[in-house]
Amino acid sequence: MLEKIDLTKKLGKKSYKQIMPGLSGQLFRLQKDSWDAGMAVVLLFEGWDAAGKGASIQKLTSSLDPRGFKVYPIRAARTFEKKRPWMWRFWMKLPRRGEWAIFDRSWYRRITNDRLEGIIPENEWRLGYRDIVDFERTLVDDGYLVIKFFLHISRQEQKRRFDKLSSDTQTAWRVTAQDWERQRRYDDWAMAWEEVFDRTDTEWAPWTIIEATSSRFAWVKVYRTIIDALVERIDQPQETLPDEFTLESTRPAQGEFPQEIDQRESIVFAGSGSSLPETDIQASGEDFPAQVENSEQDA
Amino acid sequence: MHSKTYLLNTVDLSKTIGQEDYERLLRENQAALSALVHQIYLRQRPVVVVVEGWDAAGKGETIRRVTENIDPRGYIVHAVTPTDRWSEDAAHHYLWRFWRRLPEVGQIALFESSWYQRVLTERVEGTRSDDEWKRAFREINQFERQLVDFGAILYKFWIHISLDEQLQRFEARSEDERHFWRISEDDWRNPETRSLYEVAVDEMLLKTSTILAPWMVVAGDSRNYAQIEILQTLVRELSRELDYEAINLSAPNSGSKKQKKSKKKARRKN
Repeated sequence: MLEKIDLTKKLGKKSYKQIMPGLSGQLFRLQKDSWDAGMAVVLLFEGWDAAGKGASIQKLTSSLDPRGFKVYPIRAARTFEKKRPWMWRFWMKLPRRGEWAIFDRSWYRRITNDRLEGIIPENEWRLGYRDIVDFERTLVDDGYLVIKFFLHISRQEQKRRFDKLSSDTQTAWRVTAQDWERQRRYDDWAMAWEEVFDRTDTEWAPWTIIEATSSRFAWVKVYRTIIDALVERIDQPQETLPDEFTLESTRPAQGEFPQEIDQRESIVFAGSGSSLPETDIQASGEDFPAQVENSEQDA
Repeated sequence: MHSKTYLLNTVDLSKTIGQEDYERLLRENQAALSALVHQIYLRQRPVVVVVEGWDAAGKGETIRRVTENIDPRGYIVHAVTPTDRWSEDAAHHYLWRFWRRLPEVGQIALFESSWYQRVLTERVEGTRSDDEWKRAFREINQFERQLVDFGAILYKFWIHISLDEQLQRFEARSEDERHFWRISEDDWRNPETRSLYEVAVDEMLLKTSTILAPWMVVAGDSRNYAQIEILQTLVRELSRELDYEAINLSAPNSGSKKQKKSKKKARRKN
């Protein structure tokens, strides 16, 4: 999946300056619409270290009314958070109806960090996929909008950014030994993320992979994705925007997962999502998920 | 599909217990439970107890018998009533209010009424769309599975009483000044809605009795019997789950005064 993403995509300063004010204004108005509609929005940002998650969130919130959103940076679970089921701390951060919650890292730590850093045993993190899919479906069924971003940069680009940050005494503190360790294990992380996309890219909560080599390109795509999703859900006619930037042109190649992922036993989802078809990284298969066997016999 | 005999109709409501046995078993089981609560704390296991049942089935009274003799630091009781429109609870997914009331490890949370209101009252009274209460079965099973995966001990009781018994209790309440406030006009609608609720309860028992979290239906026409049944079940199941034998402890209130005195003396000597 990730290796098929075209990381050379860029957006010139000129076009960016043309497009951004319009997007920004539109997003602000849509935030008010979602407030009026009582629709809760969950936005989560995952991605490589130094991919620009924080900067993207800062950019995003600069366009929003601060009364309507909360930002949650997610770290390893603290002591009091370990005293209840692992999803508890995320349930507690869910937005009220009409409000937005923006997560910098998220419940996906469970099946990436906690997995690769050996924080919890395999039999526990393995259940994470199921719990996450159930959780997101529960939210979407209840009228929440869930948008998931993965900010993607190459290993070389990450190294370049680390080097640049380290060389400046003002920013050197931002690169830790842990970051370098993760950089060293880039391929392991990529495999873990592939499995995440494979198992948690659902019709109700699809992943959007952002080519983040150029931050201007990344921000515009983030804005466009959110706007499209909101417009579709709030059901209002979209305003005309410059044609220069379209999501179609940035859409990742579809299908064809790497061999090793295909061979794993996995949950299969109905692939062609009705929501956000243009940004949906589609999972293969036609069968309805197997994980809802519990009580699907509703009359 | 549903058979015509509801699960509830198979409950033998004639079960009773003599006053003497009741008092003895109450003491014994309360004492055992008190010891088990300490074990729960030592082993850092969270415990969730759901008590559901018909109006006037004795949910509150049963919870009082359960908690009467246990360390108040070890438990919390949540009485679940319909949410206010502008409350935090109403501003979130309906399970949110229960997630946020989950006990810490080492603690017991008792819910008088619970997340099952979604598939009972809210379904029958039509305050929720069909979609909403139908998907609740799945959401509830997923919720409970996460609790059990985490190591929580989860018990669910349905206290069953007959319609006749229920109406008798309503009458008794409305005649007694002290209990007069406990009965509302809605309660008197019970005979009309009984059959609708029976369908809902039946489906609830069928769809949410999972291996991880089975329902336990208790015959409640005799208050005393229901209380002892629930206490005994809790003691038996907790002893098994924690692998701790607490049955043979002498109850704090048991024994004659004379015996107690001699015990005290013995302690002083030590």
